[in-house]
Amino acid sequence: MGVDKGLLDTLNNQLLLLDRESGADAIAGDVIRAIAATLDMFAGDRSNAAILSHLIDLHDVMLDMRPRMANVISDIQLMIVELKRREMDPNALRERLPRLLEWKEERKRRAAARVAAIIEPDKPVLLHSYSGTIDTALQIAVERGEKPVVFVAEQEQVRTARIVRSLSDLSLEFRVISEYALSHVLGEIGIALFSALTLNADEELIVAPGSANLINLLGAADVPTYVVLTTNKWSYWTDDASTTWHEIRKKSIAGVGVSKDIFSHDWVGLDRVTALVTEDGVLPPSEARKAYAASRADFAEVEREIKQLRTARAASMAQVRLPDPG
Amino acid sequence: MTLASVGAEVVEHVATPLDQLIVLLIFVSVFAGIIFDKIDKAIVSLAGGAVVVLAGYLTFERAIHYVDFETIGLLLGMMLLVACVQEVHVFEWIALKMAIASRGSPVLILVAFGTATAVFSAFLDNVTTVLIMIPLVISITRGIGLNPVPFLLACVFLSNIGGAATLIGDPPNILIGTRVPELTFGSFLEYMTVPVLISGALGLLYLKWANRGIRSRTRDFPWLFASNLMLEQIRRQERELHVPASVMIRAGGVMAIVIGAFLAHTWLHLSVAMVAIAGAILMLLVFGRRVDFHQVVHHVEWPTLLFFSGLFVVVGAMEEVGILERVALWMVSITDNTLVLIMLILWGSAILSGMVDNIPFVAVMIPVLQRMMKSEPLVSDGSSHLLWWALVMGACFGGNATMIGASANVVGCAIGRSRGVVINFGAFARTAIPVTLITLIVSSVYLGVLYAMHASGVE
Repeated sequence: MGVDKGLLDTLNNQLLLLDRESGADAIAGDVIRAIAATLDMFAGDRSNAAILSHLIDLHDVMLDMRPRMANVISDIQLMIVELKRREMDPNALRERLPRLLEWKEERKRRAAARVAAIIEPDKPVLLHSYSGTIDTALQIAVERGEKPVVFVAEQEQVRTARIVRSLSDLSLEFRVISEYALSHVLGEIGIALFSALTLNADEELIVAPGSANLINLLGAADVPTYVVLTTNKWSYWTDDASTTWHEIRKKSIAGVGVSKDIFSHDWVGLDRVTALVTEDGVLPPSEARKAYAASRADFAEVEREIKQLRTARAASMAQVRLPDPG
Repeated sequence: MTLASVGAEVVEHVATPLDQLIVLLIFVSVFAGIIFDKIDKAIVSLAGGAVVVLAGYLTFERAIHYVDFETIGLLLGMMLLVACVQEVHVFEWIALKMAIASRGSPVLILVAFGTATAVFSAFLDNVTTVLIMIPLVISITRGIGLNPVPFLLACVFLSNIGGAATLIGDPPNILIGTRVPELTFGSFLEYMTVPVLISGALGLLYLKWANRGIRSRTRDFPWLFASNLMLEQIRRQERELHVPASVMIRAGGVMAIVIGAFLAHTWLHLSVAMVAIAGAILMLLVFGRRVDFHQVVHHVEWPTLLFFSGLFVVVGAMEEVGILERVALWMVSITDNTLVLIMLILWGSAILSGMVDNIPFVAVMIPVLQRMMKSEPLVSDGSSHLLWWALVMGACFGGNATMIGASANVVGCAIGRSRGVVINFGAFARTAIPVTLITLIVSSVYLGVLYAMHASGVE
């Protein structure tokens, strides 16, 4: 079935806005709660086959989004596989969704604990884009009685505002510096913490706009730079789909009409960071590569299953359309 | 005619037809300046006021006499009150709560936001109401893949309809209510609640009927999911707004006191302006530590207050030279049937309000109606007060007819345009005219029933 373009654009815009305003961590939770509410309210055909079909459609829409939200897609894949393997009815699936949310929160807490372990009170921390996991890690540090000074590299106001509100709530001392002038305080930064949307098959970390430049700058100055990214956000597709949402807009600068390229995200190579912080550990690039390769097999298995389901559905619909030979 | 210098004692003179023509031309120029909107209307009206004084048609003292400080005070008080409540995000919180209660249903979004806009508009100014509602409506409807236009229009139309319900809901009502002593806050509620409720309900029904795409999505899995995803974001926005219950209680308490004082202002021997100003001061005292007073004052629309001031002076000059007397006599000469006059005022006001800014029109009609009511046969006709309600309904409801008919229309469409929702004049009118006709038919029937009840001694 072709993807509904209107639905694709609507959902893509919603998730981009959510990522911008609340960070990548918020996206997956909202999607699961939205699916739960949908299962509650849906008044159409509630058979296993019908719900399976709808989830496959949703999965395909998510695949067509840019950037791809790997954690969201993997959650929907999980639901599809559960429905199929266990022959579940939608009500049973609905009852399992809170468990899925708890599992994600547990994963996030474990990752936050890993981040908190590398925060030291005498090493100022640099933040750029908001992350719920980093926020939780700072809370853990504060509860331990450690209050590092925080530098906030200021960027788009909605993203910086979120970080500032969070730091203010934690009563942490912080300084805001423009992201364009960070070279002046490089010597004062102990560690830098970034979040990412995903790690893809080209070993690219998809990050917030501006983060790539900062990561490169910090790397050149030998400042330990960590990217917080739980393993459920890793993506394994090898197609040549673009990594980010891209639009060209006409605007006027100094009275001159120009075309401006707008990208929703930036990217930086895995080798540019000191380590990835996952729920399973703090992984330098070499270790991260091994972990990535090891988890690829699971992804391939799920992809095969979904492909089979898609084929079976198409065959079933073709049969329905065939005229009665009698 | 002698030319008096500014501030000098007036030299009594009888206005000649030439004086009347010149003053009329000044007024028409001001009107045209407001319509064509090349420069701010406040500047236009102040210029008109300055010209009539400099030309000697009014002394400075007489000009000040014509500036109705009751109206200015009421406007100022309400602006401060609303600005203070906006600073503590109460209206935003209510709008978000409504969005959550709608559960992403297109029909409920239309009804909830339309109704809330009407209710808010009855007690706040219409422009503030659309400034709060329309951005959220666009965000929600876009977020669930709906065309925002019908919802934006619903907010605009319902703001004008709801604003007609109370003395403070709409600038024409404020003008009429402050200058006509027998029209109190209570009498506005008494006479306007029924036509506003019926017009609002029928208006929403029409919008639903005219937009078949506004229907339930509970059988459409993917779009239902999109609606629910949007709802999650709205829930997050509502949580992050951090509006404590104590803030809601305090704001609600002060508003209740203010509305109570409006209802009882004649018994309390308080002017409505004093109620509004005292209410604003009370709200500022209650939230003094939570809001930035300078930010509150910044929200006051000083150009609007200056616009009214200049307009009062120009209309005062028209009174001074006898233009309004002539208009009143002419209108009474058209017919001696009060019911016909009522309908003429209703439909005439509506047509003019749709075409031009209704505030200058109402500012002129108030002294005209006051004069008409002093002349035979109206002075002895107990139903002549219905002319005021005809003016209120015509001015408020008629403002819905075109994109420029009311400030809420202009501001609402501007907000839409800034967010990529473009509505042209024709598209606006195609929906607006049927809605306006519905409200005017309701008003005609209502006024006719009231007239008949009075004639039979029931009212």
